[in-house]
Order: sequence, then C-alpha cells, then structure tokens
Amino acid sequence: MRSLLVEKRRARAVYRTLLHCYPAAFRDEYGYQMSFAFAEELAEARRTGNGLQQAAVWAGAAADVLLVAPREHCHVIAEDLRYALRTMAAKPGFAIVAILSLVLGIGANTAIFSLWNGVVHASLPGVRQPEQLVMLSNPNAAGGWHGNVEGIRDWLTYGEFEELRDRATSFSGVIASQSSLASWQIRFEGHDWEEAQGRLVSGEYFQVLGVKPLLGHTFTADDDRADSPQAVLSYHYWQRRFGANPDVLGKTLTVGNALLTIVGVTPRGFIGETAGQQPDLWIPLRMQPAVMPGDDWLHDTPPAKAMWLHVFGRLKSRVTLARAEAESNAIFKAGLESFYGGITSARRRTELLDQRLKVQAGARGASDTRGDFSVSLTALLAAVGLLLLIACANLANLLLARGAARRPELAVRLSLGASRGRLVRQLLTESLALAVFGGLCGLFVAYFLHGALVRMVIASDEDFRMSFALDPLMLGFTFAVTLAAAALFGLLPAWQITKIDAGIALKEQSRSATPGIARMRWGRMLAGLQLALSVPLLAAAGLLARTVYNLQHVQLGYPAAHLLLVHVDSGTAGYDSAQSAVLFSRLLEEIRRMPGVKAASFSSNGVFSGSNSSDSIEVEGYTWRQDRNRDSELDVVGPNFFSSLGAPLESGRDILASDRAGAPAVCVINEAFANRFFAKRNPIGMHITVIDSATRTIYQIVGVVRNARTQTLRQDVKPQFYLATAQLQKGGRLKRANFLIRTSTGTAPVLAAVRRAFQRVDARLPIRSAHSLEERLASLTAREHTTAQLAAIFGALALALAAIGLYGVMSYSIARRTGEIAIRMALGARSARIIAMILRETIGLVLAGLAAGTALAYAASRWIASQLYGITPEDPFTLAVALGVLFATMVIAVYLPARRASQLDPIAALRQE
Amino acid sequence: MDEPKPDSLLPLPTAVFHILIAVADRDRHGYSIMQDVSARTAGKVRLSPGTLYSSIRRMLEQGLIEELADSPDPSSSDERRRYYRVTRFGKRVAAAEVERLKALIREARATGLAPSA
Repeated sequence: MRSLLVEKRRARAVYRTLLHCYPAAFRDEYGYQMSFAFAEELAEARRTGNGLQQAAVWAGAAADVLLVAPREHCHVIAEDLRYALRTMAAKPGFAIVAILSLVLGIGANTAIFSLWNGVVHASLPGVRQPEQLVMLSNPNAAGGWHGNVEGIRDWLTYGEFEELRDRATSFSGVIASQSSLASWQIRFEGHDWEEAQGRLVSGEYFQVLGVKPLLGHTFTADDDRADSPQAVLSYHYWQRRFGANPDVLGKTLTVGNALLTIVGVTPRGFIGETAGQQPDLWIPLRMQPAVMPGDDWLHDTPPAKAMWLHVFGRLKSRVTLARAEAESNAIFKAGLESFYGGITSARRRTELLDQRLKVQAGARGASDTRGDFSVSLTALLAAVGLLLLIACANLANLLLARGAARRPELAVRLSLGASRGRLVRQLLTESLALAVFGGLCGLFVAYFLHGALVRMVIASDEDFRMSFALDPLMLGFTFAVTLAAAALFGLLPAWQITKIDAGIALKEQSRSATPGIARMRWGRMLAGLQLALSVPLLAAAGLLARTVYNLQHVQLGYPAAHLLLVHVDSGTAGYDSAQSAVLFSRLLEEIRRMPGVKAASFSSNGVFSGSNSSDSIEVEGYTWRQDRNRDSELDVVGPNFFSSLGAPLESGRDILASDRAGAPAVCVINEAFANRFFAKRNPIGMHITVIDSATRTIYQIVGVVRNARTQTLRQDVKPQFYLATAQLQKGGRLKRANFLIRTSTGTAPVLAAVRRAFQRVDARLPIRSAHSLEERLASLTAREHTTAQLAAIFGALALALAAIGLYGVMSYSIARRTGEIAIRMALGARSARIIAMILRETIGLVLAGLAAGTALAYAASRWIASQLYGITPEDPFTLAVALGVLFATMVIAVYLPARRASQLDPIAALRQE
Repeated sequence: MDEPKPDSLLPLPTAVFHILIAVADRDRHGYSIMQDVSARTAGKVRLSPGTLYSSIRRMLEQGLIEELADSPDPSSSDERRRYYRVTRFGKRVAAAEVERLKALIREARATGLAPSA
C-alpha cells in the first residue's frame, strides 16, 4: 500500500516535470487540472490491472508533450504577434521610423556581406567539389613575367606545368590556365573582326574542374599533346552572341593565325578558375603560338622563362596540403636544376635556384582584385555593422520611450497577476516581430543595394562579373543579424520596463512630474552611445574623402589635361617586332598630321597601363652591393616622348628620331635613377649596361628627365631608364605600343580621328584601350571614390540616426518636466534661460559621447590606414571637423525641443498638470 | 463582443465535438469528460489530458463552453476541480456541425457512396 502511494507520488512528479514543456501561462492555468486528470487516468488503468493500459496513459502524456505543447507555444506567440501588430498599427509613426532604420541597417549589412561573400569568401561557381582544388601559383596575381624571379612563384611556365601534370601523384588531375583574361580580336566566318575575352587552358581543364558541357564536348588530355584548333564557348557568350543557337557547334573562327572550330558550350553559371571574371571562350594552351603570332610561351630558352600560367591541382583523398606542396616542390626544383644546368656562375645559379612553389587552397579560385576588395569590403562591413548598432540603439530608445508610456498598462497587467516573464516575452516578441519584418524588407533593400555595389566594383574593374545569390550563408547572416538586432534593442527595454513596481507605476500615472529616472538614465546613455559610434564613421568618411582628393591631386610631373592614351596590340594582329616598328612609325605620322594634335609619341609600357618591364643593369661608376637585386625598371619610347608627355628635362635631351638603329645607343634616365646611382655626379655622358639573357648592350645617358609618375598613384616614383624603340636589339620585343597624344583642346574629336586612321591602316589592328589620361586616373581612383561615397552615406545616416535618438530623448525628458519648467517660467525665468538651462544639462552628455567616440576613432584608425593616401589615420583636422559637425547637429537636436519648452504657456501647462 | 457566426468555426475538430457532446447534458470536470468520451465511444476515442485542456482553452476563448464559478457537486473530493458547461453559442455551433455532417451524409448517399438508411 505504502509503495503504491510512493509510486503514485512519483508518477505525478514526473508528469509535473513534463508540464514544463508547455508555455508558462497554459501551465499556470491548467497544470493542476491536467496532473489531476492524469493521476486519475493512471489510477483507473491500475485498477483494471492491465499493464498495457498504464503504458498507454504514459504514451498519451508523452505524445501530448510532442504534439500539444508546441501548438500551445505557437498559440502564445501568435497572440503576442497579434498584440504587437495592434500596438504598431496604433502608433504607425513609431513603427515606420523603427522599421525604416532597421531595414536600412539590415539591408546595408546584407548587401555588403553578399558582396564580401561573393568576392572574398565564395567558392568557384559551377565547379565540382571546389574544396579539393589547390593552387600551385599565386591566386592574387594575374599577368606574366618573362625572365627570372626569386622566391615564391607567382606563375608557372608551360614546361613546369607539364612536369607537374605528368609526375605529381598527390593530385587526381593538374590543369593550367592563362592567368590574365585575354582580349582577342576574333572573326567568325563571314563576319567582321570583333573583340572577345578568352583564356588559354590545358586539355583536362574542364574534366578536372568537373564541368560537363551543355552542348558538344570540351577539350581532352590529347589536346595537350598535339595542336588542336578548337574552342569552347561560355553559356553567356553563346546566349549573347549566338542567341543560344545550337547550330553554333562546328562553326569556325579566326584568332591570330589560328582557325578554330567551336566544339562545345559550357553550362550556365560556370566562369572558370578565376573569381569575378567571365571569359567568352576557351582555347587549348597548345594553340598559344598560333593565337599570339610571334610569341612562343610554350618553350623557354635558358636562362629566361615565360611565366604566365595559373596551375591548379585536384587533391587525391587523404593527401594533405603539406604533402602536395612537398611533392610539387621536389618536381619543380628538379626542373629548375636541369633548366639552369648550363649556367656557369655558381653564385648566379644559386640565385636562380632560389625559387619555390606555395601550394594553397584553391576553392575560391584565383583573383587579382580580391585582396584589394577584401580590405575595403571588410572596412565597409565594419562601418555598416556600426550603423546597425546605432539603429538598434535608436530602436531601444524608442521602445524605452514607448514602454514608459505603456507603464500603466503593464502595471495593470502585473497587478492582475501576469508574470514578469510573460511580459518580457510579450515585449521581446514585439521586438522580434519588428526585427523579422525589418530583416525581410532588408533583403529587398540588399538586393537593390547589391546591384549598385556591383556596379561600383565593375566601374573599378572592367572584367568583374558577379550576380546576387541568396545562398545559405548569406541567409544565415541576415537571420543572425536580425536576431542580434532584436536582442540588442529588445532586451534592455524589456528588462527596464518590467522592472516596475506595479503599485508605484499605477500611482505615477497621476503624477506626471516624476520622471522615470532610471529610464532617463538609460535613454541618455543610449543617445551618448550613438553619438560615440557615429564619430569613427564620420571621421573615416572624412579621411577617405581626403584620400580621394589627394589621389586626384597627386603631382604627376606633367599636365594631366588634354592627353590621350591609345593602346595598340600589333602582336595579336600578326605583326612581328620589325613589322611592328614600321607600323608604329606610320601610325605616329598619321597622328601627328591630325588637326588638334600638338605632339605625339609612344612607348611600350605607356602611362598607367598596368604593365612594366625591368632588366638587370650595370651602371658606370656604381658598385652593386652583393645582396642587392640588380634590376631596374625601364620603358622603350618613341621619338620626342618626354616633350609629348610634358615632362621637363632636368638636363640633356629627349629621345629623338635621329636615335635610330646604327646610331650610338642612347638612353634617358629619370631623377630617381640619377639620385640612386649618380649621387653628386653628372650622369650625362655616363653609360648603362643592360644585361638581357646572354647579351650585354651599352647605352650612353643623354638626358635626365624630372620624375614622371606613370605607374602608380600611391607609390613613390622608382628609378627608371628609357631606351629608344628604334635602337632595340633584335631579341627585344615590341608587339604593342601605348600612343601618347597631346591635344590642343578636347581629346574626344582627336580620338575619333585616331580610330578612323588606324582602321584605314589595318582594319584588324586591335585597339586595346583608348581614353584620356583624366578618364584613366578617374578609373584608377574609382574604388577609393566609391568607398568614400559609401562611407559618406553611412556617416550621414549615422549622424541622422544619432540626431533622431537625442532629439527623442530630449523631447521625452522635457515633456516629463513640463511642470517644473512652467513653475520656473511663472517665477520669472525667461525663454532664453530655459533654453540655456536645458542645453547646459545636455552638454555633458554630448561631450562625453564625443570623447568616447574620439577614443573609438583612434582605436579604429589603424584599420583604414592601408586605404589612405597623403593623410595619417589620426589626422587631427579631419577628426576636428567630424566632431564639429556632430556637435553642431546635436546642439540643434537639443535646441529644438528646448525652444518648444521655453515657449509654453506656464498657466495652461500648470493647469494641465 | 459580437458573437461570431457558428459556421465560421466549422468543421469542428473531433476532440472539440466530443467535448461538446460530453458537456451537453450536464456540467462536467475534465476527468469526467475524458471518462464520458471514452465510455460513449467504447474506448475508441481517448482524450489525453494535454489534448483535453488545449481544446478546453480554445473552446473557452471561442465561447463554446464556460467555466462554472462554483463546484456543482459540493461532495466532490477536491474543490479545486473545475467544471465546464456548454454555452448557448456552443449549442448553436454543435447544431450547425450536425447539420453539416447530415448534409455530407446526404451527398454520400445521393452519389451511392454510402448505402441509404
């Protein structure tokens, strides 16, 4: 009997524990009845003596927990939501401000994150198991280098790729691709020449990336062994150029000297191995000499190597990155040993052998812009994060203010027996409803912002392509941001509001002169926090704006206006070096004859074209230190180059038309070169020896030109020397020219004439780019410009939100003090004194916020140091302006409610009290 | 508060209809409802306490039943037991549900799906 009682008690205890799975309100209301009914049910089952029936009773209880309890929870949430929507609808002004700031906050975060995700983090689209891919070349470098290098390799040669492909056992496949996206002049049978972007890739490229063709077939391993005149088109190009016509297979096209047959089309979404770039077509690597006539990048003659390929491997399962790196380096080193075997100088050999491969994860693919973007995007992500914090502080403040208005209502509910937990839950549900709504709208905002952001990215990188993708990571991010926001702005007010004592709050209703001291303190602290968070945002916007200004006003060393740059690629059109030289002279003559042209010349690397060259040199009277790299940068220029550029000569003369083959070999150096090698000596008449592969050529210095900035805006001008194109040795390559045209007025009419003239000379001559120097400079600073613009927008938003926050707090606190102010006025205080009093009381808060913000700005300054130019991150002037703007705005935000208070009618106000 | 139209609550969940039937002839407490439903259906329908009180909560909100202020049975073993009674609105809703089911049966018979009575 006793054991039966114990058992009964235990059963009820277990059931009561199960009851905790139900919402508290439901449990409070029906828990006792339920456990009572359960006990009776169990007792009945026991009386029948049927064990099965007892088990059924327990099973019923368990099923209730699984089925009924969740339904009850949903019911409570739905009720809270209905209540939340009703209160929102009752004060639509509040809801609109709250939701708008949230939507903007979450939307901006999501958009920047989506871009960050796409640029910095996302795996290559359309590639099978990208996590297995590794890169043996430098993912952040695109381009190529002919000659020698030391240290970690950026790119590999075709021969090195072949060795790795055939001998490495760590990979299930090894592929190579042209590291830079090429612009080709191509011609489809029966059509005119047109431009297309493409890449040379190895035979197993598509198989190793795991891409099945949409139409036809792709290349195979055999295409690495013999010339294979084929091309595979991308889905986009097939859509755009051929209107998705399936008959495209079998059509032929000409690139350089190659006649290729289209054999396949890749599936939609596949872009290849480089993030953010969409090639139009792919051609087998073996076709390189035919595609680029006059250049053979497949074979190397010691000691120079043609390094231009990205190499990817697909790791076999259970092979570590370290093992793959060790094996790849062993193969690579063996290749170097045999390649440089003929070099006799032991020191030179050691230098040349000092090269290695770094194997790294390749899932994200290559991208030479990712590094740049990731810094600005990470900074922007931090900025919008701050913005969301400010928006949350605003919402918390608004909720606090509204909560104070609802105190009587909540107090009534508390005194009627509602639990504090229930009220917190109710308030949090409201915050969550706000946040979820904000999050959903934020996704839409993000979609549109994303478009604008991608346009900004494209403006600074013409090859960049990216689409908006709602991938799980991004949705997860938005979800997390939304929840975090709800918690941030919901918890404090919920905690504060429900801390009320029902009795006091009810009494308070009739004595509005008593301000909710605690609430006011929190409200003021939140306003101060907003102010503090706004300082770094505004300061950063200022610093970035000044960086853009500085970059746009860098001293180039020559006038930027009225300078036209035209890049012609004769190599692609089939010209060899000698033919190119003739062509360029002829084009130059044509240009000089045009009306509106004051002067013109050309050079190999050009002005801000992105390419540069260097060679090993010896300088007369200068001894190299043992450990120094003996390279110096050079450019090969046409006659009257410096006078056309407008760079003044310090001494000596320009390169002239008379500096032709057969005449004494001459060169011009820049000031930096003179300072570096001829400190306190007169360089004119001295000699430079250029060591190119096996040949040594001696040039006499005939001129020193002032430093002219032609490579980068940010770095100092490097020592550089200039040779005459006509005096280039036979091996010297001249397959492209960057024409430099100084016009008397606008560049546009001259550009049109230049295009017509070039067309007349040779219709298939590809003009790679043609723009004024000012346009080129604008595109060079486009990213900084947009970053600064975005930072300015975010800064302005932060300023507005902080102003709204402080305004709200002040309006509320002044409204609570109406009685006090009315008495002061009745006793004779003037309006001005009332305003002064309120301003005085607030100035401390504003100053404290600004001080905290200054500290924050200093702490955050190193994050954007790398983005700045010509200004230090701690620049006191910029900070002072930011603080001044904030201070002025805050004074206005306080002044407006203060003035309203000072204009009240004391008699009416006191009567109302 | 305006009473909603009885039709707006149709079709009634099975548990709700059973509870209405149980409290139709006399006021009952929760366990008594469970017993009544079980007895009436020869044990085929068994309401668990969770289902029962979840339904009761909803029926109270919808105004189908009401809770009695005092226990109608002073001799009850526990005065904390709560008793429920069907409201006028509850009766109208139950009647509407019966009509709905009748119409359904008529349809089934008319098409030959079910045999005629």
